[in-house]
Amino acid sequence: MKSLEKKKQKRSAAMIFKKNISGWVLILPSVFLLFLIVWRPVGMAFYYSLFRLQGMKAVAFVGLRNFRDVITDTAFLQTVGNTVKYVLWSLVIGMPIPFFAAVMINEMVRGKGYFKFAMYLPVIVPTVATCLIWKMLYLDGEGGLLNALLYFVGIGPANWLSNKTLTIPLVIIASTWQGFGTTLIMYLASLQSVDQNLYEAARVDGTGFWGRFWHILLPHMRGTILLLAMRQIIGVFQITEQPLVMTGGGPNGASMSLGLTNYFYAFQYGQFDKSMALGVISFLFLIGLTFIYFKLDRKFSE
Amino acid sequence: MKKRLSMLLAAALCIFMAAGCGTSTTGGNGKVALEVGNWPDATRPESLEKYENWKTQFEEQNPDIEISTNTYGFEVKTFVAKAVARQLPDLLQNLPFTEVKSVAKNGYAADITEAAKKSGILDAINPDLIEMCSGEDGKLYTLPRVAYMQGLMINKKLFEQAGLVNADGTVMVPETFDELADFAVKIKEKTGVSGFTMPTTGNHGGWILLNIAWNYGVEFEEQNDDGTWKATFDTPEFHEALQFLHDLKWEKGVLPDNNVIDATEMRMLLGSDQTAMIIGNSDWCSHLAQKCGMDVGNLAMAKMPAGPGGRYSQLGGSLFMFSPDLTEEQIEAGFKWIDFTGYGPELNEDTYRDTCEVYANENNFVFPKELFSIWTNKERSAKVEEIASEYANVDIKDFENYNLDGIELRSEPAACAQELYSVLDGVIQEIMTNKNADIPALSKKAQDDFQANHLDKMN
Repeated sequence: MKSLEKKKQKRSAAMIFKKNISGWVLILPSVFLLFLIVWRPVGMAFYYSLFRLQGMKAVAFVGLRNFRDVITDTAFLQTVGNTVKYVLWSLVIGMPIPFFAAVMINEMVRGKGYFKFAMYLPVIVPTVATCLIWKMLYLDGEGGLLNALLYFVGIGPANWLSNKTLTIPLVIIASTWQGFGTTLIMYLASLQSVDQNLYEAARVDGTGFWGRFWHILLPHMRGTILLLAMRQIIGVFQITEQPLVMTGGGPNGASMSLGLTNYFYAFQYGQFDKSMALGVISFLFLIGLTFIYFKLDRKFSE
Repeated sequence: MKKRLSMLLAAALCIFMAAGCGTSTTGGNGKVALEVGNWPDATRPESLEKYENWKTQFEEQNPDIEISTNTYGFEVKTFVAKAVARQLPDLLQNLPFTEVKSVAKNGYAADITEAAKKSGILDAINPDLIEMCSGEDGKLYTLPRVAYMQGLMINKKLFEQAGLVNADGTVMVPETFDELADFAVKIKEKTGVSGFTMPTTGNHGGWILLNIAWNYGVEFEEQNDDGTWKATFDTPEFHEALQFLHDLKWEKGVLPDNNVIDATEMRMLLGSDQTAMIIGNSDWCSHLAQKCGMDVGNLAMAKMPAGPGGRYSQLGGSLFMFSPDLTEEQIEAGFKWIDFTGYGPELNEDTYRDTCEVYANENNFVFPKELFSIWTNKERSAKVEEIASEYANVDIKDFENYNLDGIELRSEPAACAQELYSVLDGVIQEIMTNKNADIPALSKKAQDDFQANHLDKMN
């Protein structure tokens, strides 16, 4: 009985495959490319992280020594702490801005298209260019744009990126400015699926903006917000180019992130073995987060 | 129909991909092939034309050699990947001296000891430079193309505005670090511009700090009998050097407000009259002229000022490196090419003249004599001087002080130099951004970190 069922299943699997053969063939190139440039390197990084490398050649199996070396680095805990700070600041700064911008655009009667376009614009600027522009804004001394403004209103120049407590939030502000267009579009899409009848009914009943916001929009958007928050955590956890370009991880390691440490291991010290060990650590952590993301995604799309 | 179309599309995709994976090969013609790197690209038309002409002439003179070209030059982010994939040009012309030891250890460069002995090049090189060009195993892996020592780079315009001028019109030069501080104060008072600038990021801060600290009598590391290394820099001398920088920033106020910069940004400040002095070397001159818009007449150079612990300066250079798979004939062909282009022990007057001419036209520095000689041959130096003076666009008086008298040359620290610089970067950043930095504690932590994170974990 059981074997018959299995056979049936097998046959149906084969049928499904046969039925979708052109789909399989079409996806083959992407699978091949994914294998070549994503899965294979990931697998290799796992493998090589267990070896002592000379350049990129494995010379001796060392077990978990690279992991131990990375974790016992005296700066490791500070770096992990910084990375968490990046994530927290990105939630504080990066989450509400696109959300409220989306709600505002959604409420607009005219000019929606223009604002959508204008707010998406920074996304198409390359990250490094964005970072350089913001670096100019934050520049210490009289040359910086923010300081020029301070000077104009009569307050002396302040230190920005070289201020240890400010440096991470400032980097996050810059990267939020660049990235929030994408999040905004997703919020807008979700807002547009709000039941308009409900919305109109509330309006007719004389419910104000905040009432509609609290009782209709927010409950509807809860899932999207949670998902995007998760995406943001995963994305910001890997932050690398922004601190690299804007602060180099300084002052004295105050803006060093795990991603940047990894970059330094590989490209400044040529210690690819440690770089891969740290990469594996981040990968496992992110896989965990991604798993939660998918769980949430499934829950909310049901 | 739809199905067939999608199948067709998929097949086409596969074919495209397969085509993309293929590599092209060129047939041999019995000639010795040599691929020369750092070939100029179209952004420097004059240099490109010069090199193309050289290629033609060289192949005429050496019918058994065929030169192919590659614009790749050393770049930190891509070098190792290219080296591992064996995609470096056969002859790379700008390997920084900082990379030689790791390049040799990792097998990215050919051992050219025998070939250099045979051709006589080894005997002709300034003995000071051999160590720099060799691996830890004592074998020769590179040849010097340009050599330099660290010193002071001075913006003449700002010195003149501050009245720091000698009777003969040249600028005054600080002989000690205390004098450097005095000069910086005067410049700040008279011009409002920072007198001196330190880089703090990209490992450049650590590199410059190392050069300053040597002069305060600091030794950074020493090797134990069992071959392991010990960090030794947490000393009163090092604290004194750090205090000097701290005072420049917080007591005297002569450093720029923005301190989170690397050497490239620092050069920009010098080139655009926003700082009067930096520590640097003659290899930066062309960058100053071509990328920072500095007028060639606005630069003066001096040797490293003396500190309480002596007067030391770091030796550096840009080197020729051969790819490890080359045959003996190819390496010989490379030597011939180096000779031909005017960088060998025997000066090729024609090509050297070409170089001077292009430099002069490109608004690059042409010095009327060698600032640092790679070869021991005095006649060669005399010939260089004779040709260069025809094209010179700077007054040698501004560079007279940039010489070896009283200077003891030092090489880069042998173990984990880049890592050391990175740790020191953090120390300088702390001092530059925190007025109340606890210098002894900072120094102790830096030494402990360097020992634990790098020296103790050396492979």
